[in-house]
Amino acid sequence: MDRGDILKRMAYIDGQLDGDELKEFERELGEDERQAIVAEKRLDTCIIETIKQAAETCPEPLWDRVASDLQGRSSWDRLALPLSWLRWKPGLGLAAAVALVTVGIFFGKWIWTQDSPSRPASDSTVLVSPQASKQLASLEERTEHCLQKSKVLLLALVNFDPQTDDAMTLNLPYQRRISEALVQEASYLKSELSDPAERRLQDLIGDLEVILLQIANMEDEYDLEAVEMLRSGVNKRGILFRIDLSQMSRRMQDAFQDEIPKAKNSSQI
Amino acid sequence: MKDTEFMKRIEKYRHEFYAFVQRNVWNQSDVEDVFSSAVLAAYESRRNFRPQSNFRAWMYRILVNKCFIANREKREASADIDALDAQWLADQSKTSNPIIEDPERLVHECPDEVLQALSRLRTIERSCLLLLSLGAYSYSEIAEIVGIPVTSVTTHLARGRAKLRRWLTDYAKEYGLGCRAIVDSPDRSEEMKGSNDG
Repeated sequence: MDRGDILKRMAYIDGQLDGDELKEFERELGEDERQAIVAEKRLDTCIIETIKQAAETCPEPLWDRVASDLQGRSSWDRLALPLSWLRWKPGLGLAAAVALVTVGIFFGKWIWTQDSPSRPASDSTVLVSPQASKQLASLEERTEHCLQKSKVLLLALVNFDPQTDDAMTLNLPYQRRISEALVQEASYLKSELSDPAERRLQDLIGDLEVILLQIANMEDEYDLEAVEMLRSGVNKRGILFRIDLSQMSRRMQDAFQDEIPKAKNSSQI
Repeated sequence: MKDTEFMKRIEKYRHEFYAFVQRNVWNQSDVEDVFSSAVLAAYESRRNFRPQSNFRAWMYRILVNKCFIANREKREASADIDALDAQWLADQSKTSNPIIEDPERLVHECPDEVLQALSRLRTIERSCLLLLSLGAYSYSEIAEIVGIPVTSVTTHLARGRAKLRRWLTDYAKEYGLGCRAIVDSPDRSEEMKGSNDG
């Protein structure tokens, strides 16, 4: 048996021979050879099955770390790309700077008026008032609402840079009130999401609850160390990325559900 | 490729990719580092990914490279491999192949031995075997992923399998699990030495 025969024999065992080549190989096969091939194939199958069975799944903590890292890079890329573009266009850069300052002033004024003591209702009542709860038709909608609110809140924290931003801009008293309401909502959702298929979402809500609780319990609104700890907690657990994933998967499910009736209608036509 | 698209695809195949790295990297404490660095490297070069090509195969190519680096091995030029294996396969053809009579019993009773034998192969041989078994790729697809000609893939597969069979047969013989038609290859000791060096 030469080298070519050995390789052809292996290709036969792996099912890689096609058409005429396969027929020719089988025609020339002696009985002893056929038996030897069957035995080799049995052993190979056993080896492959053992390898497949021993394959472990990716550990969740590792995936969370990788996902968080990816999310961090993704946010940076989104920021870095326009900035690098502006470097080459000084005129546009100046215009962008003016626009940013204008938006900053507008936003600052808005925050100031939002946080004024004369405001009649607290945000927590708006968020989880019975009327609002009734309006949210299903558990899914409530989950989505809670995730979206938390995401906005956490984004403000994560994007806050103590080196360049003023602690006032964080508006911690306001964040605390929102967090208190969201903690209650998260606690309710955690108890309601009992389906094993929702385990990932349950874990996310659980982690979110811990972070929100920490925000709600912050005492000093200028405690930058606590803010830093919170930011690292959010990044470490990849909370924002997991919220994005959860929302994305929900949207995909919705889109899929929408497609089914359309497909039915078109088939009827 | 957009970030969300990339993340969606990586999440879909992450268990498969992790299993590949886990079986392919010698030092098990490196597995997590290799996996995460491969994913991050893929993310960094996601703009090089052509939309019409196969994401899974593209990712496997990165994983194979990372495993080579982690195992501190480099791919020889294909001509060298073919020259080396031409002689080795010619020697193989002079001997009759040993046959384990009850392979199911052997792997059922000693699965660790199979995995240990797999870990003794060279990275290129193991990569080809894993792509065939875990990835269910054809020879030509493996060639494209690993970046070597199809003939080299078949050679590596033949060589890797022959080593596995030999080691498992030795094990079966030692523990009385039954073999027949066992004829030792003249340069078996050389082969074992070579594989351990690798």
